[in-house]
Amino acid sequence: MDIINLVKKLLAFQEPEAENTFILVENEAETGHKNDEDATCDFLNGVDYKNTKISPNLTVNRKIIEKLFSVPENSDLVIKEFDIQSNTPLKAMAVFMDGLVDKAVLHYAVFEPLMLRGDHQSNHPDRLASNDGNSISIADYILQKLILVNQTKKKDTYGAVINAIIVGETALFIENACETIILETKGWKDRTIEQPLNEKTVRGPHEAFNENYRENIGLIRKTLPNHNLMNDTIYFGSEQKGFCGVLYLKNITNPSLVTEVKRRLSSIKTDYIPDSGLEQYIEDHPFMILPQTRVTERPDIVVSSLLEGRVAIIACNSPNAMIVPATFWSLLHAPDDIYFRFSFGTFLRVIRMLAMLFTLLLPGLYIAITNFHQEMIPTDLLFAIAGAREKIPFPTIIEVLLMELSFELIREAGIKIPGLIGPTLGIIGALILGQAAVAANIVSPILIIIVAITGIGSFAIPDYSMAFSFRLTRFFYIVAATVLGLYGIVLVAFINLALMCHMKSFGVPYLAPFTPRSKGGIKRLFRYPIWEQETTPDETNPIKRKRQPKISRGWTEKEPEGRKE
Amino acid sequence: MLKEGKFGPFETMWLLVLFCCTKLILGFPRTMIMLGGSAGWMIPIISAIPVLLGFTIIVLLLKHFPGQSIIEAGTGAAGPIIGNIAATGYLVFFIVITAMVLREFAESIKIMTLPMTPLPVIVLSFFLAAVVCVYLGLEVCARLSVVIAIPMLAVIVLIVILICREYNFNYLFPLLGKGPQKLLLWGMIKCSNYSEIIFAGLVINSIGGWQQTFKTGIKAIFLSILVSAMITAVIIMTFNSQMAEEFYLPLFRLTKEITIGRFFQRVEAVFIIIWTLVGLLYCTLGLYAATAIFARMLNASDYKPLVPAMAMIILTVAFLPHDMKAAVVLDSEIIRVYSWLISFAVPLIILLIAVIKGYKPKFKRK
Repeated sequence: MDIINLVKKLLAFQEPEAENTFILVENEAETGHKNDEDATCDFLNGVDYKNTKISPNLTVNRKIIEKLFSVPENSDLVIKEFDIQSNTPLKAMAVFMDGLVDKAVLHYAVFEPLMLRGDHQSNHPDRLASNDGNSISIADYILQKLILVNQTKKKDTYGAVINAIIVGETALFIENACETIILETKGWKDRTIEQPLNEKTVRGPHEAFNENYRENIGLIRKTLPNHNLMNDTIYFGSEQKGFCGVLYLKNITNPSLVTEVKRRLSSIKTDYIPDSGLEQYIEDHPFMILPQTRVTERPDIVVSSLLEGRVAIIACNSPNAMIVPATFWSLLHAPDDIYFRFSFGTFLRVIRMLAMLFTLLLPGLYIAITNFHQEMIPTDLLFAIAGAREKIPFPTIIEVLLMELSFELIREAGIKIPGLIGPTLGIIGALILGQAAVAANIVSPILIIIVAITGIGSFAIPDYSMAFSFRLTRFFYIVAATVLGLYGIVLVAFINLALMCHMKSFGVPYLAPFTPRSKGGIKRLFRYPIWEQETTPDETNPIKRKRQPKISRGWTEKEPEGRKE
Repeated sequence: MLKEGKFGPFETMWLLVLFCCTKLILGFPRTMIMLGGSAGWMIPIISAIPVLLGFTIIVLLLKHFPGQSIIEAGTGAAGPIIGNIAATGYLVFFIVITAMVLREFAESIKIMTLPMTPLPVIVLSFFLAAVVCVYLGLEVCARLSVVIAIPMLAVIVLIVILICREYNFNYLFPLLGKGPQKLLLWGMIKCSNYSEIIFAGLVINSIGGWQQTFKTGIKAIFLSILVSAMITAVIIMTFNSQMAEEFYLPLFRLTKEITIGRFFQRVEAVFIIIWTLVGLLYCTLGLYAATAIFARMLNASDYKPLVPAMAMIILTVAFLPHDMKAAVVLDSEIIRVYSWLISFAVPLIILLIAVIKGYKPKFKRK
């Protein structure tokens, strides 16, 4: 046999061994996990540690924590064992995640008092005798007498402890204690409060949310100091333990709206929720192109919405707040409408509606008119268009699609390219491309104007998602105009309008207060004088409707002091 | 019981006005002028009397059967056989009238904007949009009617203003046109032009009871008649009655006369956008009415499974007339002459049966 093998080895071709032999295979059989539930870290050796009570034995606790966090593979977890200063030193263990805690707080408010200032006598494994002679539990004694941290709580299951550690809190295990003390020691680097990036205004506050949940809530509370402002925290997710705050005004917002928001949020079961994409889980019509929540980075918009009886949702780590219910018109409104006087505000809203129509219809109308309804164009203009298109080898649809797609490409590249190069690329790309395309007789100059107006129109829409939806819907109109001209545009518009009439955001019709019509709706569609806006929007069915009396400007009823004289 | 949703009086009024006034865009003014000459505009006003009477009969019938539509009321008062015969009458009316309007609109679009496009393409695409809307429900139709009605009203006012320099008030004389007898006779018969008002009796539960239906219906009838008479009068004043009789689509012809300076001379295409929207809404409502009647006859809990079948029937009927002229003749000289028998006489008969049987008006408990 050896001779045969030797011959084979000498004569037969042998493939050299691959340098990289790694193959990613399914490891279900290897690990023996029966289902996805078992695969979570909450299960160890078939025991559900999520609901298991904390052991009074510190060594057992350490072993369980190490297993649950896979220490030492998981190098971020810090487990520090120490003695609490007393007549009979008491063993303790602090567990926290490196990088998520404020080390100064941990040092001065936790370790220093515990290790240097402890002063008690133990007469029972679980209880202590304090200086005044009373017997209290170890955990209570530490909480009341030693710890200097602002927010503390006691937890008695491993699940709750893990949830606290992963969000930056410190778990303090004490020998013989059946409860773990959770200390609020969160502290990581955040962006400071900066100017809004996407919702700039000429007047009004220039501060925007950042990624710090507490600071965001603080910004709202600062703008709206009201004891009726509620903030309910809802937890969701399995792998990523996310949470969000549901903010509303208790005396204004309809309770059923709040209940519905909480119901939807608390029912979310998933491993990961992108902080700023929460709306995809809770919107009424996920397959509709139009957005059904108002996403903003401005605290003043959140405050004005709360006063209208809406609910704001702020997810942890998200620099945006989500406002529900959102209507079509609310997504077209911007803060400047209110900060300026009503005449300017109304004008701005009309301009924005025009911008919306331009974005949606202009390329489609150009195709329809040039291909189907030349008689619509006044003769002089017709000659101008015909002259410009004379040398163009493409049909109008190709010309339009080419330019629209190029424009979208430039826009997307402009956003993705870092720093100052982005806008520069946008300008240079658009200018050079446009100029070169016209010079090369690929597109007509009139089309460049059409595409530019369409693009500018989309930038004038305050809500980014709304502008995006119009940019997308525009292509349906382009295709319809190519096939059936103006008639095709009307058909798509009819279906589009019908779908908008069908849509609801948290039970509120999308086109309210235009249809269904509600009291005082017209005052909000067009910006009426601020002193005439006496009620909150009817469509949100608020508890309190009156915002101000019929005569809010009391001075108009009283005679000036000077005249009496 | 069908789940149809609820809508307010504002939506109801515009829904009924648009349902009743769509024919203005088609051959309605021409028919009025043919029948009444220079006094053709008076025919809609005279029609107001029988229409209001007929609508009152419908509401009175529904008052006897609170919470029920005109279909269930018919069955309840006259028994399943007569009730279903009456319902079949309503069904046939809505099928035929929707099919004719569909055909006339499609032909008009072909004439006005798409001369090279085959007619079936226009008809099918037109009706497809209507089918989508019917699937979305009656509530959507009601809201959509408000969205469409406001620009429609603006367009009518704009036409009346922009064409005013062409007005010749002498064309309105002789004031009684072809004679008072003819005016009265055709005024009474042409109440059929507003037969669509029976739709209010079909969707009474969505409107909110007979009191609300009555109030809103009366407003809708008055507004429809006012708009019809005004448009007919404007056409007469612009062209004179003899000339206006020649136009199949007089309102379209009217917009062709609008010129604003040297630059804006062919603005009629702008109005086509609104007209098409109105026509689409009419077909949507017609298809919905036919499907809802059929679903009620079958005691079905949902109308949606019947939509494709009903759409096919309406499409088939729409292609029956040989050409546009045949469709216009069928519409204006047959349907719009005899449809009052279905929309007003049948409810009257059922009401009489209900009264004879001893049914008394009831009020829904709050």
